[in-house]
Amino acid sequence: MVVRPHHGLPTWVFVPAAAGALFVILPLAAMLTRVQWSRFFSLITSDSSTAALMLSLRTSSASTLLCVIFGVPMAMILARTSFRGQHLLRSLVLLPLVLPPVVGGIALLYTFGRKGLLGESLDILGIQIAFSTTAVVLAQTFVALPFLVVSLEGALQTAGQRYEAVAATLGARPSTVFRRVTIPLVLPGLASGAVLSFARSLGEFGATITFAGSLEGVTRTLPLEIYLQRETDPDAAVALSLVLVVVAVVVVGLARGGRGAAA
Amino acid sequence: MTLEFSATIEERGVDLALDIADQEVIAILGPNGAGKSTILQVISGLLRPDRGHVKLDGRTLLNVGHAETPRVWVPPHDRGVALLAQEPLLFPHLTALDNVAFGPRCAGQSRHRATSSATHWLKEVDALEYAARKPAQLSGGQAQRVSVARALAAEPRLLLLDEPMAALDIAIAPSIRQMLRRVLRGQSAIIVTHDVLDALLLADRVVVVDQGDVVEQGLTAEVLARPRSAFAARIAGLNMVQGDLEGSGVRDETGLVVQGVPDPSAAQYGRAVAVFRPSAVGVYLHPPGGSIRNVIPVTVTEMEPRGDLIRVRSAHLSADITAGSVAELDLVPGAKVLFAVKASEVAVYSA
Repeated sequence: MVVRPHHGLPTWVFVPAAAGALFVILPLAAMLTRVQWSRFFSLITSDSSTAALMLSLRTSSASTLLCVIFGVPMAMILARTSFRGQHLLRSLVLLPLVLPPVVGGIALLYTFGRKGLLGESLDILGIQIAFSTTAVVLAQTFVALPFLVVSLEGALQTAGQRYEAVAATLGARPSTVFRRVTIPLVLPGLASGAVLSFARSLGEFGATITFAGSLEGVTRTLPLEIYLQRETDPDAAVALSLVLVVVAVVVVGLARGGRGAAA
Repeated sequence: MTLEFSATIEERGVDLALDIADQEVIAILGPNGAGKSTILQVISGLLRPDRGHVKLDGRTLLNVGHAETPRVWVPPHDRGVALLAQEPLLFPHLTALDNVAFGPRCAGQSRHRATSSATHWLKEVDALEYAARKPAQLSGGQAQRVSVARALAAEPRLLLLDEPMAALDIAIAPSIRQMLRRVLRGQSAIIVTHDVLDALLLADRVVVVDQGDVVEQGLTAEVLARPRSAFAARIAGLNMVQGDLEGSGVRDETGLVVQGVPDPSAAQYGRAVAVFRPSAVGVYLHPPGGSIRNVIPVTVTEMEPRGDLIRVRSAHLSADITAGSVAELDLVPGAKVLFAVKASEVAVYSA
């Protein structure tokens, strides 16, 4: 038997805690009761559903990759250097965490849209981003990037610089230190950050519909498909929602597993 | 090794300069917070001083804050200076063997050559049997052995040791110290310590640092035999019997023989010293039984409190015992007692 120290909590805290947990779990259960199990597989394998699911997986994978490519260097610089305006920069980078996604979508539209800040120049080069699959990826990367940066910066702070210092005195160049020491040490943090970014990308709705629109097979990801189906075929919406819930549960499990390995 | 070193760090109140010519192993001694570790951090390039100059074997590694000479900053990986810290800091994701092979790999050696070099160094520190283990599966002493091998395998021009025994169980520190004494032969090294045994056993020369300044330096034996600074005198508060090697002990001019653990590399005869701590000495009125091999009759000259112990002094030796023991033995200056110390507590090595 495992001996646990007495928790020392006042008894009353269990009441609001239980209510809060119920508040999260009950809606999921309510949704489960509405699933038409007889039609479940035909609903989630319809052409439009499959197209939306595949598009979601493709774009989320691409934005996770972009998050890693840009987020790892950002986290390293935030964690390992100090410069004027660093706090401000960190706050700005993390802004998408608290910004309504639809605002993010509008911001992206005025950057990459045809009349946007960069869009006009891109238009001359024959590149149009808004309302394309690329726009979906950019919208998802915009909202998911802070998750990776926050997660990895925390892991880097926890790991400290002592191993890196030792590696340098053993003759390792900065790139070698990065590859053979830093990354292996923070791998669990990086993995859980990537998983969280993937999950955030998969669930993205507001920025996507604002910046990329809702074209079947091009920009209509699973959350958009669910939103549209809700009006025409609520059973399909519920079935697809369940698919996203399952994916989310798997993702949270993976992220927790990664953190567990780090501890 | 020749080393020119100077550094000023306003924030830490450190302003140090030292010059070392043709010495292999230097011990930097001093109380905590004296700026000892700062010296190592500056030499290794992990800390950039406000003003400083480091020249190792004719190569300028650092020159900053001097307007009249060009600025030089060699990055840590290019200095040929390895650092061994209190904690082993083995890379947790690599096996002991891969940890030791890290330096050779960074130097561009093939995997095969790096592995054979790592094997060689693990053997040198008596840790070859742990080669396949991850650091989490090693004890503190085992990990520190691997860490020493890792630092040496990088073939540094200069090895810096920052209190390498401080975090170890006192029971295993002596064997690590003997190992270091063996592997440091022929290796330029600077060891920072507050343990005088490290200086005695490992260093040719000591530099005593206090409150950010060098207060004394010289050949280790000279400094500790005739301390010229308060700190050196305090840290030299060891019992030392000098004489000729006789078996596993040392016989001094008065005929006193102190048995100990000889350094395996010590000569079979000749000048030697037996060194032991006052805290290893027991005080008795009658000869103690058991395995204690050194029982020395002395006359108590004075007693003084020392932390939670009482230092009992005779003409040449001291013992640190509890106040309870002092009361029990009814000790007063002039009392004739027996100082007893186990041979395993006595380090014997060539003088």
